[in-house]
Parts: sequence; structure tokens; C-alpha cells
Amino acid sequence: MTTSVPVVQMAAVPVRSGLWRRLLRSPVGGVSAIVCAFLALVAITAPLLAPFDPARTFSQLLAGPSWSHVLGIDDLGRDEMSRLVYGIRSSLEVGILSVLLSGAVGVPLGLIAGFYGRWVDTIVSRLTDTVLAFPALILAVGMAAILGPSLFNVTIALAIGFVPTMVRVIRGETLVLRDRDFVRAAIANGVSDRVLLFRHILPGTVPALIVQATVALPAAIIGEAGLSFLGLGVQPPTPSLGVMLADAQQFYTTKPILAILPGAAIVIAALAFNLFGDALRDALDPRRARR
Amino acid sequence: MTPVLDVQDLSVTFSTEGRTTCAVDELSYQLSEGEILGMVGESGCGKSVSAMALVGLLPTSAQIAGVAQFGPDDLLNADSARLAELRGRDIAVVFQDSMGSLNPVLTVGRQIGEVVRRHQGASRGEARERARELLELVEIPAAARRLREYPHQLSGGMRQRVAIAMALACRPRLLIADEPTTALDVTVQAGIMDLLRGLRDQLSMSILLITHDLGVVADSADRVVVMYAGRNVETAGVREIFHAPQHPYTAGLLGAAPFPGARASGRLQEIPGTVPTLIEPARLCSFAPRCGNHGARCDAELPALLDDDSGHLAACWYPVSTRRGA
Amino acid sequence: MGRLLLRRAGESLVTLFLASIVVFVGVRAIPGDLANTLAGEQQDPATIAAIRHQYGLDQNVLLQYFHYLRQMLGGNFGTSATTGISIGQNILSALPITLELALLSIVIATIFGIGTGIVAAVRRGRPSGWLANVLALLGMSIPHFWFGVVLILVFAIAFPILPSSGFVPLGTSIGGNLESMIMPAIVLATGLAAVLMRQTRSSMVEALESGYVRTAQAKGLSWANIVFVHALRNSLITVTTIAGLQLGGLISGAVIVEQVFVLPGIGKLTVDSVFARDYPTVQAVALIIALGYIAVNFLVDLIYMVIDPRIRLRGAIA
Repeated sequence: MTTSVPVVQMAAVPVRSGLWRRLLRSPVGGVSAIVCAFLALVAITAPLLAPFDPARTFSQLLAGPSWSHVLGIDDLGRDEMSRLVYGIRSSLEVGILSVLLSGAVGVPLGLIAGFYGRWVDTIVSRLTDTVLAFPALILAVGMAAILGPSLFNVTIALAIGFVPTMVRVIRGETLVLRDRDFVRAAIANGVSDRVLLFRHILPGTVPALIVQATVALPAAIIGEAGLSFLGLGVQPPTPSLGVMLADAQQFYTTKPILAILPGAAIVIAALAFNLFGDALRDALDPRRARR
Repeated sequence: MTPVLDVQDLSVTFSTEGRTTCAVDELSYQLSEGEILGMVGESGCGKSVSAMALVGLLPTSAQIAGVAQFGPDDLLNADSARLAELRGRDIAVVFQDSMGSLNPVLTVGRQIGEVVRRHQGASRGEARERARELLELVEIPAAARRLREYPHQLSGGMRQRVAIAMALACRPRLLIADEPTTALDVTVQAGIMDLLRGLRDQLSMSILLITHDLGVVADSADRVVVMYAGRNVETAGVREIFHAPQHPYTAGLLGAAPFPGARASGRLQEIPGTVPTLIEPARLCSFAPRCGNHGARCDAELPALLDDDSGHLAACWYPVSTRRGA
Repeated sequence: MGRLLLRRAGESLVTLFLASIVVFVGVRAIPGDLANTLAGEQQDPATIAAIRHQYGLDQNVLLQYFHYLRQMLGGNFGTSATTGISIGQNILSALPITLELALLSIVIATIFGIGTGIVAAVRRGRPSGWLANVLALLGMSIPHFWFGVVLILVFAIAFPILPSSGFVPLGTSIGGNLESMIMPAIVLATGLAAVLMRQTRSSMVEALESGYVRTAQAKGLSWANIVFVHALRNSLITVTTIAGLQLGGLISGAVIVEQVFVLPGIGKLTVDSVFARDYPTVQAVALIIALGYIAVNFLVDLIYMVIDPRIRLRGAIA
């Protein structure tokens, strides 16, 4: 006798209705959401937004703000505003891509480690421990040395750095969900492993996944800036906030704005995403909302 | 004789996020020395809230009115320093969830001992000795060894005994037991209730026993207060409550409970409808919409607790049975 | 607990072993012929061949690996390709600096982070609690290199109280040493302090709203007793775990901070040797760092076991 298996309603999936409302209810959540959206917009519309090509040079080196160059010109004659805009774009590109990549690798690994356990879990755990044994920056420095410095390689390096945490988080959630009754029911119904993992357990890990992503994104932004600062990230002429900071080092006393602008941009971006992540976390789990 | 606890018109209202809920409404009762007063009612009827109000353990969003006379102190209007003195020393509480109410990272001995150290200035050694005595008092075997153990190493029943030991440390006059056996197996329940009764006899302690389990009340209580939607709807000795309940709600509760021997045939009778949540204090009887004895006066006036001259009080215009010297 | 300890120790060893493979493969994965790069300016075939032999690069890969392992285990790290100085020597002089930096940062971060966390938890809902939270978020969002730069601008250039760079060893002058370390330590501490503060606050809030705190109140215990003995003891468990996870970030941060403030520590040694293509140094230093990190993690697990009686007695990490 065959019985069709209904798709079980996930108890662990966040209540979508009212999520946006709760998110935007706190002023912090609302403001940070707006800032994040704004930054994303800047990144997407960079070619339209930037007044000039960021690599194009002008003759008035180190000029102050003017009508045509709103934020001034840097030491090589490039328009600051354009560089800032494209810099934000690089940062966000690297940030989002590295998080997505770490998810693409980390989520399946975490799922199978948590679900199958025993030797699969041992192997995955030892591998992640090994990666974790190297402080993120050392790892990135090493990777850059091997792969050569570039925007893409920075993304890969950061992604590799995030994978272990992603695996740990997903593995933890999977372990908890595996023992839930709805999974046992599905197994008893003869559902295949693949369906079980991807249609039943995976949705339950989404809240933790989102939380992890919101923590990793600001870290990626700062990480990319750090690597570029060390010279291991994007190479000229691609602008990056980190490179701008590094270039500005010589001009601390003469033209500090060259250092302040990219630094402020990094801080604002990181802060906005951190706050947004916080608000998202609170909205997803009302129990944790601050009284 | 003056009662150990005299509660008059206790009212508790919660206001959160712009909504107000009236949890307890003009609750009054007395508790005599050495008496076990059972407070029964469904979940949400306000019994736990009223008890927490007595010891000042309600959240700050709670507004409390009324008087709770405990010796020279009015508990509801005492300052926090005085309350802190009384708590643990003269009034003690045993909660329902023993695992949640014991600190997982401190030893049992430490948790019992700190009550004595706080209120009686005992030294570490004295506190440890007293803790050991208390564990023996609550009939936990191998007391000395248990002192060094942690809550998670004990069974549910033993943990509850530890909670009781903690409560008794300073020989309180009043013990508030909030659903002490609800989380335990039936056989373990009996042991705990036996223990409480024994302790009451030994120490002349008064117990406010809060529970929704009528069986526990029948076994252990001397008098009973029945609560519905935040109000006291009936108060009487335990025998009267069970043999001749006056308030239709009490009668309904008894009809809905499976008692050996009573109503051997037929279904358990449900009370139709659900308990209302009050936004403001009730102006009419809250039970009326569900009541089989509903009459004209119920729509006009809120019944006060009426005494039938035998000490049996019921807040009803059309009580189920009236005992007149019967 | 003994069995659990043994298991963890075994896992750490396996991880260390795997890490050594990663370092070994990593160094050899760098594009370009190793011998060529090590030869530097003297690009004649004879020198290159000699170098190849000297570093054992002409041997079978597996043999090279075992040779590498034996070297590391024996503490013989070889000599730096760029300076010719014993690598072991380099490490020995650089390590204490980074350790001191890390220690100072941890102390600052703990005092400040846990302290503000407790305040934020006890005063939650009030403006001071909210302020503490914002400060913590800020701490997590400020990149080390920028913050370091700002501090230098303010305290070394605008108001010249502290040195902008350089290191004064403890042996020479304690005051001088502290002067050169205080800014880097503060910068390094910010990230850790922020995380500690948020975690302490979150754990304390959870503890303060728990059943056992309600019991403690019902027992009439003092406020100080409830906060510091009951609530804090429980919170420290999670806080320690999280802190342990952050220690890796400390070393990462040290790399940058040492660059900005020019402190000759392990971080700077690593970066410099990578840039200078000094592979023997890279091989040794990377492994040392991995070893240190694995050891610290093991220590954190140990502390965790000591603090939480549930783990100690049940023998399982909850």
C-alpha cells in the first residue's frame, strides 16, 4: 500500500509574515536597512554614478573639492569620488561573493557532516579544524602568495576562511533538526536521503544561515580592505577602499581626507551591515528581541 | 487567631505594548497557621500570578493593588529591602520546574547553604552542616555525598526535594508551593506531597499550595480557594468543596475530573466555552456565558463572595447546592 | 573527563598533522621554481643546483615531507634564505613580542568587554545599556588598520605623547615598552572586546531571566550575589567558548597591527617573509602559528571542561 508523502510544514522556518514589519519596527533596523540598500544601490549603479572613470588621471594632483571633482583628486590625479564609488562596489562584490561561495561549499558539507555523522563527520570536522588552525589573515596571505594578488583571489581566500564557521553552524543545526519528529516521520515514510536533506532539513537551517551570512559580510568587507591594504588584494587600477587607505598613508599630515574618506566608508558599510544583521536576528527570533 | 497571611482585594494588571490584561481581580483569602490552603483553577486563572505578587517576583510591567498582611508587614507595599529579608527566611517558594529553578553550575550543598548564610550569618562549615540536615529532613539518602553533586545529576523527584530543602532552610512560616508536583511522575508526586504534609506537621508551617490537579488538593489541602478568570469564586474546606460544591464552575471542574467511583458511567463532562482574558476588571460574573445555572441576576450584578454561614463562600447568585445545616 | 581529554588531544594532533601537510603543500604550490627564487640574484645553473640540493628539493616529494617533519619536530628550522640568520632565532625573538601584544590585548579586552557586558545586561532597556551595545557594534565594525592609523594621528602626531612605531623591549625599559605597546594593544583589543561584550550581555540577560535567578531572588539573596555568583558563572561558559573562537582573529589582527605600528613580531615576520619569498621561514613560521592556535584551542576546551560541571561529569560537550 502506498501513501503519498505530504510536504511537512517546517517548524523551524521563520514566520515570513510580519518579518518585514518587525524588522523595520525598530529605528535601528530601519535606518541600517536603508543604509545597506543605499550602499547596494551605489555598488550596482557605480558606472552611472561615478562622474569619471576611476583610472582616468587629471593634472591637478591633490586638489581639494571643486565643482567637477566633488571630493577632490588624489596623489596620482584620479577623481576621489569615482574611486570611492567603485571602491564600495569592489568591497560589496567581494563581500557578497565570498559569503555566497562559502555557503555553496559550507552548507552541503555541514549538512552531510551533521546528518550522516560518524566517519563522514570526523573527516569534515578534522578538515575544518585544519583550516581553522590558520588565522584567517595568514591563510589569505598564503593564498595570495600562491594564487597571486587579484580581486577574485581575495574572494576565494576570504571564502575559504568563512567555510569552516559555515560548516560548523550548519552542522550544528542539522544535528538538532535530525532528531526532530518531522524528520523521523519523513524517514519512516521512506523518503530518500537527498529529498530529506534538501527539502526537509535545509529549510530549517535557513535562519542560522542568514545569521551567519550577516556576520560574515561585514567581516568580508573589512577583510578585503585589510588584504588590499597589505598589497595582496586588488591590483591597480581597480580601486578598492583598502588600497585607497594604503595609498593615503604618506599623506596623513598633508591631506588626511584621502585616508578619512575610504576609512569612513568601510566603517559605515561594516556598521550598517552589522546593525542590519542584528535587527534581522531579532526579527527572526522574537524571543531574543531586546526588552 | 490571626491568620498567618491575610490577603485583601489583591489585584494585578499587566500592561505590555499598549495592551492591558487583568490577571488577578480583587482576590481575598486567609491562611491560618499550620494550614494547607489549596488554590485551584485552570491555567491562566491567575493563581500563580497572585502568589508571585506576594513575594514581589512579578515583572515591572505589573501593577499591584490591595493588601497582603503577613505579620507586621504588608507584602504588597513593603520596600524591596524588607522583602529581601523576608524572602527565604519567613516566606519561601518552591517552583514547578526544579531543573529550571536550580542553578546548574553550583552544587546542591552550596545552593541550600547560601540561604542560611544570607539570613542567619552562618559560616561555610555551619551552612554545609545545616544543608546536610535539611537533605535528611527531605528524605534524600546519602545526604553528605549529595551536597557535592550538581542538579543535573539528580532525578526530578530528588531535585524537587532539594528545592524544598532550600525553601525550608530558615524554617519559614509560609511556604508557597507553585505547582510543585506538576512536572513529576504520579508516584513521585505522592512522595513529595507526603513529604510536604509531614513537614507541615513537624514545623507548623503554613502552605499555599497552587495546583490545577484536584487529586493533589483532595489529598493534601485543608481548605480550598477556587479561582476563575482572576477572581476567587469559591472558598471552603476541602470536604465541602468536593462533596457539596456551590459554584457552578467548581461543580463543572469536579465533573470534568476523573475520580474513581464518581460518575462511573458516561463521559467526562466538559465545560463548554473557554476562559476569557480580561482587559479590565470584570463587571459581571465572568463564568456566566458558560454557566448552566445562568439566571437573570447574573446579567445585572457581579456576585460577591457570599457566606452561607458555615464558612463556605461562593461568588454566585444561583449556587448549585445550598448547605443549611445539612 | 580523562577520556574526553584524551580524545580532544588526539584530535588536536591529527589537526596539527594535517596542518603541516597544508603548509608543506602550500609553500610548494607557489608558482615558480623554488630553487630559482631562493637563488635570488645568482641565477647561474651551478648555484641553483647547489641550492636545490641544499634544501633537498631534488629529492622525492614524500622524502622531502618527512625531512620537513623531522626538522620541525627536532626544532631545527633551518636558516632564513634572505638574511641567513637561523630561523629558530628569528622566531624566538619575534614570538615574545607577539605574545606580549596578545596578552595585553586579552587583558584589556576581557576587563573592558566583560565589564561593559555586565553593565549592559543589568541596565538593559535603559540608555546606558543601549549605548554600550552601540559601542560594541562599532568595535566590531572598525578595521584595525584604520583605527590604528587614527590613533597614531591623534596620539603620536597631533598630540605627541606616544611613539608612532617601533618597539622597545622589556629588558631595556618597562615604561618604553608599555608606551610602544599600548596603542597596538588597544587596537587589537577592540574587536575581541566588542565580541566579548555582546556575548556577555546576551548570556547575562538570558541568565537573569532564568528560573534559577528567580529562585535566588525568592531566597532573598543580595543583588551582588545574584549577578556575580549565579548569573555570571553561567554566562562565562558561553563567553569563554566564543572568546576561544575569537583568538584566531587576534593573531590575524596582530599581523595587521604589527605592520601598522612596525612591531617585529611573528605576524610581521610572516608577512615579510612571504613578500621576500623566504620560503624556509614561511614554512616554519606558518606551522608554529598553526601549532600555537591548535594549542590555545585545546586549552580553551580544557577551561571549558573545568567551568561547566555538566561536561566534566557527563563527559560530553553539550
